[in-house]
Amino acid sequence: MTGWTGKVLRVNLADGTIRKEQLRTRDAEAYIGARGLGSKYWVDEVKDPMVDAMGPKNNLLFVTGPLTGTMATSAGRYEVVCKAPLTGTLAASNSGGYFGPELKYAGYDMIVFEGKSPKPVYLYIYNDTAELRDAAALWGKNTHETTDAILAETDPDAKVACIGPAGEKGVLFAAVINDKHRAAGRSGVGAVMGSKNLKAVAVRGTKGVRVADTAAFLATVRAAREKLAANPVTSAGLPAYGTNVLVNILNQAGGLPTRNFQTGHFEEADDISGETLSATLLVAKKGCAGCTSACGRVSKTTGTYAGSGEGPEYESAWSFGAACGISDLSAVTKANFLCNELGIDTITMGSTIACAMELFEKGLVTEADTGMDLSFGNAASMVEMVKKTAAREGFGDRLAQGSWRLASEAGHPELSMTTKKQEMPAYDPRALQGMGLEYATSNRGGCHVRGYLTSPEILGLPQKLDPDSIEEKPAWLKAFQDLTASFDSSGVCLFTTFAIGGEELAAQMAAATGVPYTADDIMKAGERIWNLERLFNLAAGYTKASDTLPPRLLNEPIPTGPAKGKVSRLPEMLPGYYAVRGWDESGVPTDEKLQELGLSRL
Amino acid sequence: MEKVLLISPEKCIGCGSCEMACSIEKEGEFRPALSRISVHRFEGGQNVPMACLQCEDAACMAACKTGALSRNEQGVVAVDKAKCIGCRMCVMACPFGNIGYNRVSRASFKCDQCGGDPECVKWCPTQALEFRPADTANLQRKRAFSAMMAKALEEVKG
Amino acid sequence: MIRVLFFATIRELAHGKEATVQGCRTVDELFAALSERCGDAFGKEALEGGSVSGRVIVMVNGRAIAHTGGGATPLSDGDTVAVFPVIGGG
Repeated sequence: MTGWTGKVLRVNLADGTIRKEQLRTRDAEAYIGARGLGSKYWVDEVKDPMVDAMGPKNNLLFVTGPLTGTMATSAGRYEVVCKAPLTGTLAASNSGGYFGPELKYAGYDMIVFEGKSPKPVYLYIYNDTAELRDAAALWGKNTHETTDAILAETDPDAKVACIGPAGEKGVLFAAVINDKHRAAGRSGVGAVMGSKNLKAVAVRGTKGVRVADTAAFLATVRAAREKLAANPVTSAGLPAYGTNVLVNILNQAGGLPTRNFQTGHFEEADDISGETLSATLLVAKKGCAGCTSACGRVSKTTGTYAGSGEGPEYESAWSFGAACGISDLSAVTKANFLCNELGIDTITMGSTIACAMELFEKGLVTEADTGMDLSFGNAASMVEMVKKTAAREGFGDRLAQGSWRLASEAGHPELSMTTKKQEMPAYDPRALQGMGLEYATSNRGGCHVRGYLTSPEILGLPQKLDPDSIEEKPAWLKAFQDLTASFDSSGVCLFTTFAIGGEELAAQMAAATGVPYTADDIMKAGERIWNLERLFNLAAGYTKASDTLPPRLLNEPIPTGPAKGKVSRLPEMLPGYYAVRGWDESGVPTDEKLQELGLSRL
Repeated sequence: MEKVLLISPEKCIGCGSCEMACSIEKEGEFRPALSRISVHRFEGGQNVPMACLQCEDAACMAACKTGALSRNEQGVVAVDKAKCIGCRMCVMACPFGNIGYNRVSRASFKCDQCGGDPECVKWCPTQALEFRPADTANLQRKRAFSAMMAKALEEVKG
Repeated sequence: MIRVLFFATIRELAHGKEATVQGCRTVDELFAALSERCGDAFGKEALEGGSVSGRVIVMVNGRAIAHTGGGATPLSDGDTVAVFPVIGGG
């Protein structure tokens, strides 16, 4: 095989046995890799979507794509796949950095972890040798300390993916952090890792990745790179300002969710923007393996919130900033650093604190519960709550369950800004109709990135769509969701899609793997993956009823700002979305659709 | 006209394209471990590409007892695999670590500038790697800095 | 009085974060006036053949001009115009 290594490492944590096996070729061709192939493996091997996400039967997979570790455009990505404790859906969390390519260079497409280890362990892979090592001395350490300790006792050039105290303690939105500053963030994959007593995966690989037709591959990469170099987003905007450049444009459009989505305009948005980050806290830009854009931010804060690390990205600046009514960029950045060190998803963390702040504002939780003033705008309390959540101390223990359970316990689930129990990021569906449809239909709940209609609706890429219009959104969303699923499965970074699409991905995939993928094949694979995830959710008990948005977004017009007066028109878009997906009126894929995609019901 | 590999670490974004370009050319696979050039990434965001500097007074050549290392017509120090006995004295001798040893092919490996058209230079997205005439390679650094000075002088004058 | 806000790289080209302009009836007129005021670099980026270029995203009171008539979008006293380069993220 080329592109893929053809080898899977299977680790049974209960009895400590480690086996190597052949990659299932037909599944690899149909589901590509990473998100798609990891999901397919999980579904075929675990089978039961009702397993306890925090229990030993929930397999945990680290999966690369066939292009990961090659010179394909920005091809440094991998995914962590399991059943999600936060949502009960499938989790497939994407991350960059350098861990993914290193796993390919060690000779593996994926690692499958089964069962639970009786004691804390970490896995160390050095090419053909793989062993579970005692992690008792690492348990309790944050991700930076853990990484440094493991590098010291293995190989200074190894790459480490690990959990911090949050994952150990089962915070429902704990993340897996690799290379210290990159996160497989969403849905609680870090908690699953912790539930298995698995502290870290360290890998050192000195082998290589081959492609089927080197000359053709390099030619397709050259052509695709030229498109990236000519595109203003990938060649200028992202390297100069990082993703946080979005704060001001969303705010000017009136769609920057403020104070737990109470409105869509934040007066002090500029204070937490990419422009301000560049002018004050930025040290250097940084890129993942193989990436020519370098949108990552190395930053440093001083004073009360002193720290250093990477970020914040747009969604993180939003969740600790506008969502909480906070304009202090140092505090926002410090919260981001803490999440990387403690191993927590920044989006759910910030949005859960924002929910708590609204509960506090309404007197539904009080200082007796929280131990401190938790008003909107209180930056010191926000930062403190991040620490308390990781430690599951005091009110942090309640925050550790995410905003849906927090708000439900307080008797007001409608104040949790989630879909399918996962927090929606930084785009108000009342100002961007397409994003409302994405949040309502995304297979992992409140997720922006898998159906990023913000791109046409606000950024005008690849084409300008009116954020208020609804007719065309279902078809556009299906296209974005399907294409994204394929990119997420290939190992290529999604941000390349500002400049390239299915054609360029197919060309790189075909030259690398020798499988004659076309752009249509890429879209079909994406559709297949999307439907597989949907089938899982249906079998896990999700119905059409959960393809919805919080009542605030459906019924309460945005009170201030440029999008004042608007509500989400989701109910008008949903039937069209089901239709274009080939699903029935209950949102269930029809037999014809399943046959077309080669799927069976779970 | 002899050219040198000019490295500007301040422009390097640590993407590793050079490692991949070199290894696919020389080894037929994407394999940074066998790349003749390697990128070193530091916590503070600095990135430094390292490759053979083709020293005039090459320590590797001096350490080699079989004559496996010699300077070719382009002025580049190259490895003759047939003569290499795998003692790895060259690896110890190079003060920069820019020569490696491949246990499978049983020979040392180092940058040979791809016969005059280096692949790493072709793929670097930020021109952190350039291949320029030896006698004037430093001139563009002087020019870049002098441009900064000129701008500062204009501001002071105005 | 029309309030114009500049963002990202446009701030360097416009030499500031905002400006106020009087007497422009359309976005094209506004940009012509801004180009005069801010200089060549701004004009090169923001204008194309006398009209707003495709290299900038322009919103009037939060609505992208792409959906309100492009450069011919009318302006009234008290309007806020926001100017961005083409940007992305996620």
